[in-house]
Amino acid sequence: MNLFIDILPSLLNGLKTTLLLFIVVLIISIPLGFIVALIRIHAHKIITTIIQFYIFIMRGTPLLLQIMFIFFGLPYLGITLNRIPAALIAFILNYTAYYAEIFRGGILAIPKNQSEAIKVLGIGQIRGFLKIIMPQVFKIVLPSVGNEVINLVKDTSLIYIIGITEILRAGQTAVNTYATPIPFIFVGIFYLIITAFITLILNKIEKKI
Amino acid sequence: MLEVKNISKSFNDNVVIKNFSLTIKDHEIVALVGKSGTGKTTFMRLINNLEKANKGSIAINDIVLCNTINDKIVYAKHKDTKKYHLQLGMVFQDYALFPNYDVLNNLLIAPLAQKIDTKENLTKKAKKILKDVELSNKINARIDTLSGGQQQRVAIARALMLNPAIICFDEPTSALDEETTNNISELIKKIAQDGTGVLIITHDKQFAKNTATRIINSNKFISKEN
Ligand SMILES: Nc1ncnc2c1ncn2[C@@H]1O[C@H](COP(=O)(O)OP(=O)(O)OP(=O)(O)O)[C@@H](O)[C@H]1O
Ligand SMILES: [Mg+2]
Repeated sequence: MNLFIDILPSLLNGLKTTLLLFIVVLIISIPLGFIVALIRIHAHKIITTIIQFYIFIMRGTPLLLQIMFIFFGLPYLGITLNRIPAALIAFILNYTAYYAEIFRGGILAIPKNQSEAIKVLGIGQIRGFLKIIMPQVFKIVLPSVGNEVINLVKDTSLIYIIGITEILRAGQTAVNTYATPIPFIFVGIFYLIITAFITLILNKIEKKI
Repeated sequence: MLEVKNISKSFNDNVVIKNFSLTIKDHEIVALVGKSGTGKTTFMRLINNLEKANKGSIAINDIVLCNTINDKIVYAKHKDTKKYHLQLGMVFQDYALFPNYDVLNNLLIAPLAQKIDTKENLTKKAKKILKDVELSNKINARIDTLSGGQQQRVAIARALMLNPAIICFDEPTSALDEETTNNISELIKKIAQDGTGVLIITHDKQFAKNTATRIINSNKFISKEN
């Protein structure tokens, strides 16, 4: 118990960084993924091909490599970023690609006759999209989006590679300092609390729509 | 009154409709029958502006969807096609109801979007139409809890909310049993009695005979003299 009280401040500090990364990436990459999916479905072939290539790179290489490339690699091309912005950019690029694929699948799963009915009934494209197509898409993609949200919580630990102290790194420092594995267990419990909380929220949303 | 004049439609080299004309007056029920793949659905999609014609003209009560001048087809501007769509109702073969809304809101969403009337008045009207199609007890039901025949009637009710001058049905009875088919037949006749012109695509000869005032075969889409 004493140990817990001793290491709590540094764990909480790490947790702050973990949550910051998690929330910023979530808030930006979900809407961005939706927009990329829409562009990929409707845009010209050249743009579609570019997006396809981007998604291929993001899904085909490890996120760890992408983080390292942006933080350690780009400076050699004259682009130097601070740790946190580098981490944010890498995560947003990566997660936007995954969300874009999920949303694309959801949009394509809506039967064509829905948009035809919207047209024939004179509901208007934008209103029809917002009030009829989008709610159906969200319902379809919610489980997959939920999976990626929980993956994101766990993936945030990858930023230790560029020297950011998030909760896992804080835990490791404590393990070394106090020569006991217990801090790792505390870290695990923190992750479990976060994912349990997210699961709860996702279940609430699922019931609502 | 729907007026289709000298309409032509091809998909690449596949000529589906060539120089075909059809007029449907108020109160009239026209059944469109004919072999599979002869362009019945395509014709209905042309009328509903879901497919663009290569030539000819389409208008309802003098509101023009497309017209051909000097051999060139011209479509109405986006804003004017809205007026055209107001004249027209379409009941899709697979109903195309909105699963994220209940029955009442499936009926309300289009007239509300078009600001035809207040929500209160439209709700009254929806209730009356739902009574006519014998769905009063399903007013707040979710779409996926309804049977095929019930969904069919919701789709009809939804189209009727806009007081269309012309209403189209693509294979309205293909998923229905004999008794429900007869009910739909009666319902369509009642709609026509109230002044609406009706176009029905059907494979069911008996249904066509019982319901329609005129039967047209889609082999006329490609007329011999051309
Ligand atoms: N979007 C399209 N692109 C290319 N060809 C099409 C398209 N839609 C229809 N066709 C072709 O047009 C022809 C007529 O098709 P349509 O669906 O209108 O026939 P139909 O009379 O409704 O047949 P059924 O009785 O089987 O429903 C067919 O040869 C079909 O392959
Ligand atoms: Mg057909």
